[in-house]
Amino acid sequence: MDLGIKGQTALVLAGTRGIGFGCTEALAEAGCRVVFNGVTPDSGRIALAKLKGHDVHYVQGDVMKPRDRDRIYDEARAWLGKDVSILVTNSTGPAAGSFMSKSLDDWREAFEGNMLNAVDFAYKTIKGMMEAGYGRIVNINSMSAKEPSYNTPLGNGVKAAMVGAMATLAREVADKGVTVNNILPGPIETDLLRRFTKHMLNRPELSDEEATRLFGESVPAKRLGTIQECGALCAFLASRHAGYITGQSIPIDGGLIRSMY
Amino acid sequence: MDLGLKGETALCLAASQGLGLACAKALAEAGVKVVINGRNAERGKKAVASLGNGAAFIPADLTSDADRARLFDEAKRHLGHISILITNADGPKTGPFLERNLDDWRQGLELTMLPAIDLAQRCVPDMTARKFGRIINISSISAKEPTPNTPLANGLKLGLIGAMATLAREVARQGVTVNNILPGPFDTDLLRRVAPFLVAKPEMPQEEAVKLYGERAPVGRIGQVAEFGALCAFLASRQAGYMTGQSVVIDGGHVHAIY
Repeated sequence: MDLGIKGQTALVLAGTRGIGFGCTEALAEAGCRVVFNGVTPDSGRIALAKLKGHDVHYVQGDVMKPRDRDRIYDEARAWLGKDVSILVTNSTGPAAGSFMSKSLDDWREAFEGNMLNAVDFAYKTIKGMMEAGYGRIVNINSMSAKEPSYNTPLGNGVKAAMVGAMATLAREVADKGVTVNNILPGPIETDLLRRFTKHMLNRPELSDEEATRLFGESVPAKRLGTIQECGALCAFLASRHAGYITGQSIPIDGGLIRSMY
Repeated sequence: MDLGLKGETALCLAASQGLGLACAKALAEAGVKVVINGRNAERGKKAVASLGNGAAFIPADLTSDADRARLFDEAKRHLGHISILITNADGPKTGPFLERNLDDWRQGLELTMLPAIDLAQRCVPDMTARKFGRIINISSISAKEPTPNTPLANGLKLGLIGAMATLAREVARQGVTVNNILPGPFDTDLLRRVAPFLVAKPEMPQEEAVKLYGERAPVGRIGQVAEFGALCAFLASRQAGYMTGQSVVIDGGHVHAIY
């Protein structure tokens, strides 16, 4: 399928590893010019090596920090030489632990790092998208925004908040050729998953590997998802074909969510 | 129906008027000793007089960390223990998403989510120790079907639901339930203020916008606050002990989604 986004300009946040990298790679393969950021230069170098031959650019920076966000955007805009038309927001999830163990400052930090990062970049990029009459915002969220997982109250709360915020934005810009959607990944094989699985299973005594394997077996698909599958969904939502899909939250979870809607 | 709440106690946040006060009233009628909070002492005194049953008013600004700590301490002193917590908050800034800035969002967090989270954390230990507790959050249908021009409320009220859904599962074995009520259009000052935005006619006079908004609901009218209080009292009742982590819509059929 030709996605019709060859030559489009994309910015992928936290795009050096995991699902973010899956999106970076899928957009690059669809012919987009992609800027992606990551916190550690090492992860940037590794990602760049994997993306050899594609028109991509790495920017060091932490999307959780407001000042870094400004710099990431400025560098991306400069390298692209034009406005961003496809924005993929992503961030590492906040620390796990029970609701009762979290302080108000934990909530403030999670809000800043895992919700406002996306809102901030939406503000930075949306004007250009509206002027061009074409724009795609795809937020990498989590299935926990739909079915809260145990021991991740910060993620459950702020990621749900992001869905509500983006749902509002989606309707405001729907007649300008700009769509805003969320991807709700379930268990995808990433470092993050390996770290969190035992908490999601409510079995902190398990090793990461054991917990990950158990979790895979508990999914109707009997396996974990891949970052390439997430990337493909992201690229489709960014494509010309997906122009009538907006304000939606689409799970990619091997059938794990039980709720019908 | 006897709700089984005689001798229980409740702290109702932002309850000197509107939906919060309606909850306090319904609980007081069920025999609950109630503390209500608000910012305006004059209004608080008037509200408390309508409650009876040993009710008290404690002024506090819920966006202030120090005020919340004092509110909890004073309420606990007055009530002995707190078995029911009703959270409520003034609506955050309205207006299009594209006209808000990041500081608006940060203020929205302090106003809409953190007071409920803070008071819940303070109240839960007593609730679990006594094996009976009810936390009821007054949310909005915009957490289910986002309304235009209220991006902060749409986002943050949904955020609170995600947070409370987690707490609900943590304390479910200890006789504590955590639920949200999602009101549609009710006869309150807040509704009058946001109605012009809800009908996407910011220039329309408030009364006219309220009427128009009510007519859009299948039931053809806005809700009465006493209807809201009754649902709150039911969720607080002994009978509702198997309902937890839920978001119950009360909106005259306004929301279109089946679930």
